[in-house]
Parts: sequence; structure tokens; C-alpha cells
Amino acid sequence: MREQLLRLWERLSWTWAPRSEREAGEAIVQNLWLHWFPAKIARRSMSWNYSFYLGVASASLFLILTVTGFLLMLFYVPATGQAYGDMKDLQFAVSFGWWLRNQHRWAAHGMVLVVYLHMARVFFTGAYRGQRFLNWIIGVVLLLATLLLSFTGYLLPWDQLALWAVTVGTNIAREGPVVGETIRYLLLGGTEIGQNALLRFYVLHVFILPVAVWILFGYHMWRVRKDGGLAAIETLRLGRRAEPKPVPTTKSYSLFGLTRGATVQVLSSTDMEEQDQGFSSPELTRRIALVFLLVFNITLLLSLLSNAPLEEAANPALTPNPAKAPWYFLWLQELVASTTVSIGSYRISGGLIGGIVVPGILLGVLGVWPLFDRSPQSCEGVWFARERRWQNITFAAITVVIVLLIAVGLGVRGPYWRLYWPGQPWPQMPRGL
Amino acid sequence: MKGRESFESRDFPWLVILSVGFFALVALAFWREYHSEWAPLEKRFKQILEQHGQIEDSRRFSLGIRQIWNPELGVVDRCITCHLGYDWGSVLPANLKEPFTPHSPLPYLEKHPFARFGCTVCHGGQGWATEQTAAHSGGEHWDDPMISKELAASYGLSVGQMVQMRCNFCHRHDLSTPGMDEINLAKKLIKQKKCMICHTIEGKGGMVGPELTFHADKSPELFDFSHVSGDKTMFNWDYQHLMDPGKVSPGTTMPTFGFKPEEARALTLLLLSWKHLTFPPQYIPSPIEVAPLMVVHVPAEAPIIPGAEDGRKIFQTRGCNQCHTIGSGKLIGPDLIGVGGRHPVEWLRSWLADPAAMIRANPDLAKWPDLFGGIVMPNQNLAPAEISAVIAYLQKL
Amino acid sequence: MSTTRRKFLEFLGKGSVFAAFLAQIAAAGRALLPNVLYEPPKRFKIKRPDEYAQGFTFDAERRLFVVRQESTFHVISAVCTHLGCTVQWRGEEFDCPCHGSRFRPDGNVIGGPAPRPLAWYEVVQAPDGRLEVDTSTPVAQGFSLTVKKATA
Repeated sequence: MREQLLRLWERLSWTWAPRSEREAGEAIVQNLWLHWFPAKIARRSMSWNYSFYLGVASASLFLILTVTGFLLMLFYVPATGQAYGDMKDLQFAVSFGWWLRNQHRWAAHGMVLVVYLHMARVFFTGAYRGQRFLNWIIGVVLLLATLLLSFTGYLLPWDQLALWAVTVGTNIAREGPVVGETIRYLLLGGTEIGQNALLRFYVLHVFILPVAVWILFGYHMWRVRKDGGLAAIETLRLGRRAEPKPVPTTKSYSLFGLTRGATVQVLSSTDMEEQDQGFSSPELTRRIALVFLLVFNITLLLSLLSNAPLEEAANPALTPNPAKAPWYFLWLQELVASTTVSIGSYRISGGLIGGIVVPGILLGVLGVWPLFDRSPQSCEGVWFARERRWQNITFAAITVVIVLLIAVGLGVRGPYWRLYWPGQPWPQMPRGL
Repeated sequence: MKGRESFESRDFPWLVILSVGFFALVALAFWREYHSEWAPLEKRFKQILEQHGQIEDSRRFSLGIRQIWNPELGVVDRCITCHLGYDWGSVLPANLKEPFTPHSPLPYLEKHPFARFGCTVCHGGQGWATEQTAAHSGGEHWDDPMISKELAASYGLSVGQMVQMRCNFCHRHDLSTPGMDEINLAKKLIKQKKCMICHTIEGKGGMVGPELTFHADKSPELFDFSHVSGDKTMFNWDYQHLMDPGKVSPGTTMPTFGFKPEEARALTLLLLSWKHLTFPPQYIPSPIEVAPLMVVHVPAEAPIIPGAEDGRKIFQTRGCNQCHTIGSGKLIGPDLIGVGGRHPVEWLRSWLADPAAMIRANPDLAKWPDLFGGIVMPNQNLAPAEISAVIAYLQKL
Repeated sequence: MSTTRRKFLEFLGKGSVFAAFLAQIAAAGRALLPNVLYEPPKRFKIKRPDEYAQGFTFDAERRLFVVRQESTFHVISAVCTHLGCTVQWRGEEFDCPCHGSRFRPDGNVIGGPAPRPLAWYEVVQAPDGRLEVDTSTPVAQGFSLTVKKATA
């Protein structure tokens, strides 16, 4: 019996801890989960200081969100009369309900932050150029999907924050020219925020968007292989000493047979010097496991220390004062509150300018930036390359502005959106008893 | 592995640390889950049951979150997870320490059974919660705090007085309810001081001042608190406004009524009880002072007439005295005093045999039913001998 | 079969499938735009004229203000034109708690990010005497209703 168990364990675990180079190579082709990795991988790609494993962290957070989210679905009904009570039940009556909800919330906040940092990393290392441009676009779409997941998610508790945040968000959509009103009608399933809106946001949040993200994530990973691996290897490619071997003809799929690209072999192991290589299994997989554990531990620690907030039950007759968006949208709220302009006798709403035009421009510029990057190839995969100095400064400056706007919204805005400097107490808001 | 340096030596310690940390944090999560506030309280209560001789109940006592659930009223009250003695008033002593103290044996508890009304309907607070602070005051985002001794005392009231505000959520339409002295006083004052000359309440009244029908639903933010002292609560606003309208609302035309503080407090409780609530009809309290729908008649003794005792007995036992008085006026049917002089014997005989047939046969009796609420005298199915005995009695009236 | 006839039939077949496919996508999209709404009607009756005090009366549920001056009534929306929060009447102006927009009593913008004045709604007197408001389309500022027999 013991023999059999040991052998079973051996069979389950050998691919994750290969004992020889041959086993390391075999592991990749015999384990489905590992087949995405190349057998051997440039050590530079595996470096902590290069990528900080931010991509892995994003994926880890999304995995945590998917699992906690799926479990939460068993305790939540998207009905306006029941949703709020279900949230209270999760907090007080469901065993480990507090854990599910808190970790889901912390992972959500974390994911918005980490995907942004990941994008910043890719930008600062110029890792979006050439054939990696398509993957950059997919990344931007994933960023947008992450923000939409957050937005649809926080309607679900049906508390005051939910109701009024979605009121504001959908009214921004309405400001869009021509189709704005229809888009709002489609999103809400009506003219007001009610049961239809809750149901549509629920389906978006638990199915449509997560499926889209998982598929895009898969594609995102696939593109990394087709692009030859992380941009970190480009310097290797430039400075390689070994003679390049001819690219072997092997199978190389694309989604609809549309895109062409490199073979799925990353910079061929035979092109790399011995000392530049490492084995995906176990060296990379070990690091990935490390990052996942770190991310999980941080979100669990935060869940233990701080409960996810829940405001009063949704009340269409009373707008909370102040009514603030979650931190990652506060910069947008600052924009929409201050970008109403008068052109002659026309007044254009901040909802349009700050809510649609400015973010639209930012997103658009972000997307096409790689096309205008004319720096030499030696900048690819290099942190803060000199020739890309001004690009990096621009990106950093925009980031700083966004962070400042968030800080203002967090720390300085009070009731009626008035400014209350730190130390200045807010007026006591009246209450019933 | 071949001789180049692998990451293993550097990664391995971190992997171990994070794995152990992983385990530790999960262990902490379990610790938190199983160290709830209520678990030790429930264990203690089990002992208390035993100490008071409730061996069977103590043995059957299971640990876990308890709740009173009534979807008709939207009640989900988990207060009883800690307040375990609430229903043990007949067995456990009244001086048992909180949270095990049995509910005081109030006279109206029978009409408000726990299983139907729960706790928060009367006491306020957050029924969903299983932690003390969240359950009592509710924390930052709960606007319906439990009416605690401290809260009531801060307004110069006892809990029993302040809770009446909540009683009146449902008992709004009572003229006067036993056990609600403050609210009853307030309702009297409303009538006495003629508030409705200036304020509309439930569709009637004047429009000099704002409508008060659902005063308690108005958002506190819409009121001017700049002349209100103390905490910015609606209680303070209403109370201070009642005591001195000109101070709280400068320039107002509302007169100063010179209320005593307890009167103004009572009125404040009343005002803050006026919420727009919907509940199923079976919960609408029956009005305490009922407008008479029907006076239940207790028949007086029929007069004794010598020689007509049989007839008198029939009059009292066969239902005649439920509809007819003798000398006390019209009841359902006419007063029978002097009936002997109004109708001859033959008439009485046919009548008592079949009143409906007589009305059909006689045109001048046709409008009789109209005179008596449309009621035709029912046939009492008297035997001929009985009819004779009754007639003998009736003739002498 | 001749080549052209075959090609035509091929085109017919592929075209049919493609067109049908497009039509189904259109149908799915159309289904998502509801025809019936479980919402309160946009045209509704409120109280009788003589049940309103002089000045501004806030209707929290309907999110509007009924304004009475002697026998003349008009209805102003309480929905801020910026991003839809409910404004508060503060005696001399409307204030919005969300981003600080301020409006004059007639709805015009004093300050803040609101792009347009508060909407005015049509108000008529229904046959039974009650006031009837239509919030589906705003009317011009200044629209009002003067009733014949408003007492008190």
C-alpha cells in the first residue's frame, strides 16, 4: 500500500521537480500545465529585477478572484430585495464568509494596482515594440476589462456606494455623443437603476467579463511565446556570441491563422550560451509558486486585518454626502467634477470631457504609443534606457498626476465635494438619532 | 543539474518562509472563525441551564448562530445568539446577568410573540449582526441604532419611553394604546394644541408649516442645524424646535407653545415615529379604542306575569329576548310593551306561526322589513301549544 | 453543372448562412433592449393643488420639486444635470452633494460642474383635479400652470 502511494506521488510530482536535465525537458512536453513554457528559458527572463513578476502577480490575483468569486456565487442572489441581506449574511452568518468577501475585495483592489504596475514595467522596459505590439494591445484591453470587472462588481452589494457609483458611471456613458443614451439603456436594461441593471451587471461580472479575461489572458500568454519570450532576451539576442542557427521549421499556430510570428521556440536554446539558460521546470515554476504564495498571503493578511466595507442599503431617495468612487476611479471623479467647460453659449459636461474624452484619449494614446517609439533596438528589454528617457518621463508624469488626483479625492474632498485640508475637520453630518 | 548556478539556493528559503506563512495565515483565519464573541457565551448559558435544573434542555442545547426569521416583516434577528435567556422568563431569574437576562414580562408580549416580531422591530439595532458593536450601534454605516439605556438617557428618556417611538411605527392610528404613555400624551397634545391648523398630517390640515405625515423619513441633511445645540440629530432638532421654534428656525411663524420638557420629548418621539412603512395586513394592529360596530346586548329579565309563566320561559329561552325588549326600546325588532293592545290574538297567532308568509300576504306589512334594517322575523318553529303560551304572555304586556 | 451556375449556388448558400448569422446577432442585440419596464410611470399624478404649501415642496420618491406661488405651479427636477445625484433645496439655492454644483431657484447653474440647468417638467391638471407631471421630456424654463380654484 505504502509502495503504491509513493509511486502515485512520484508520478504526480516528477514534472514539478525534475531530477535531471532530461527530465526537465520531458516535464514540459508531458505535463499539459507546463507545455506553455519552453523547456529551457533565458535566465534573464527569470530575473526578479527585470519583471518583478508583476504579470505572474496579476494572474495570481485573478485566480484568487475567480475562486473566491465562484464560491461567493453560492451565497449571493442578484435580486434587489435580497442582495444586501446576502452581503450581511456573508459578513456575519456564513462560516468563513468574511474571508471569502474580504479576500475577494482585497484581491480586486490589488489587481487594479498590480496590472497598472505591470503595464508600467512593460512601458519602462520598452517591451512593447515590433512583434510585441499586438500583445501590448491585448494588455491594454485586459486593463480595461479589469477596470470594468471592478465597476460591475461593486454594484452587486446594492448598498449606497453601489447605487450611486453606478448612477454616476452610467450617466457618464449617457454623455457620449449619439449612442450614449442607447448604451446607457442597454447597460441598465431600462431608464433607472433597478433589478434589470443589477442582473445585467451580475452576468457581466460573473461570466462575460471573466471569460473574456481568461481567453484574452490565454492569448496574452500565447503571444509571449510567439514573440519569442520576454523582451529581456532581446539584449541577449543582440549581444550573442554563438552563431545563430537557422530557424527550424516547426508547427506554429495562430488563432484564426491570421497572424504570423516567430516559432514557438523562444530564442532557441541552441542559440543561447549555456550559462544564460535555465530550466522552466523547476526554476521558473518555483518562482511562480513563490509569487502566488506571496500574493495570497498578502491578500489573506489584509483580509484578517480589515473588513470590506458595506454602506447603508441602497436608497434612491438619498444621495450620500460625500459620494466617493473607489480609489482607482477617484482620479476620474476629480476629472468629471472639474472639466465642465463653456464654449460661447454652449456648456459641455464634465461627464463627457472628463469621463469619456480624456480617458478615451489616454487609452488611445496608450494603445498606439509603440508605433511612435523610434528608439533603437538596443532599448528593448532594458529598464530606463537612455534613448527612451522622454517617453519614460511622460509616462511617469501622467502616472504621478493620476496618483495626485486620487490623493486629492481620498484625503481632501469632503461633503458637497468641498476641500477640507488635512487637519480641517469635516462638519458633523446630521443623522436621525 | 549541470554545473551552472541555479536559482534554487536563493529561492528555496523564501519558498519555505512563504509556505509556512501561508499555513500560519490560514491557521489564523481558522482561529478567527472559531473565536467568535458568541461561542463562549453559548457555552456559559448551557451551564446556566444546568445550574437551574434544566437538565434536558441543557443536554439538547446546541451551539451555533440562532436567528428569528420572519420574511413577512423583513425580520432577520440574530440577537438571540447571545441574548439566550430571552424566552426563559418563567424559569430563569430576572436578575440573571446580561446578555442572559430574560425579557421583562411585559403585558403586551403575548400580542407580540418573539417568533413573529423578532427583536429589532421594537428595540432597533442591526439584527443581521453576530458581534456586539455591529448589532447594537451598527457602526458607521447603519442608521438605525438599538435604543440603549445610554442613547435614551442622552435624550432624558428611559428605554421604555424611547422605545414607544418604534411601537408607534405600527400603532400610529391608535387613539390611545395601553403601555404607550408618552405617545398617548403626544397624540392628545396634537389634538389639544391644534397642530393641524398649520401642518398637514395624513391628508388633512393646513399648509402654513411643512407636511408632517412622514416626518421621520425626511433626510436630516435637509434641516438647518446651525442653531441646534448638541449633536446634530433629528431628535435634538425636533425637541429644540418644539421648545423654541424661533431659535431653531429664525423668522418662523410657529408660536412658542410653552411645552414642558417631557411634553416636547413626547411630541418628538411621536414625530420620529411617523415613517412610511408597509407590512402585511395581518400585522396591522386592531384599533384599541374601537368605534362601536355592534353593541352586544345582554337581555334583561322579562317581567313576571302571574299565570303566564310558560310563555315567559319561552320568551327567554327560545331567542325572543335577543331581538325584542319589553319596555327598553327597539332592539332588532320592536319593543313588545303593549303589543297585546296593538294586535288581536288571531293576528298574533298567524304571525308567530309564519311571519314571512304574513308579510307576503298583507300589503300593509310590506314595508315592515325596511323599518327593521331589512330583517324579516325568522320562523321560530313553535308548536301550537307553545304559540298559545306565548300569546297568553304577550297579551298581558 | 456549369461553373457560373455552381458559383452562383455557392454564393447563394454562403450568403444565406452569413446573412442569417448576422440577423441572429441583430436579434440578440434587439432582445437586450427592453420593451416593457418595471419602473414607475414617467407620467403620473401627484396631489391636488390645494394640498401643496406655498414655495418648494420636495418629493423624495419622484425626485422633483413642486413649486407653488399663489395659484401658479411649476415642477423642477431634483436630478443634478451633471451626473444624476439628487440635489438639496437650501432655501435660496439647490446644492448637489456629489460634486458641489449649485443652482438658482429657477434651475439655472450658479457654479460647479453641472452643464445644464435643472430640467422643468410639464404639469397639467388632470380631470379629477389632481396635478399630473410628465418627466419623460423636459419643457422650457418658465413653463407653469395656473389653476382656477386653489384654496388655502
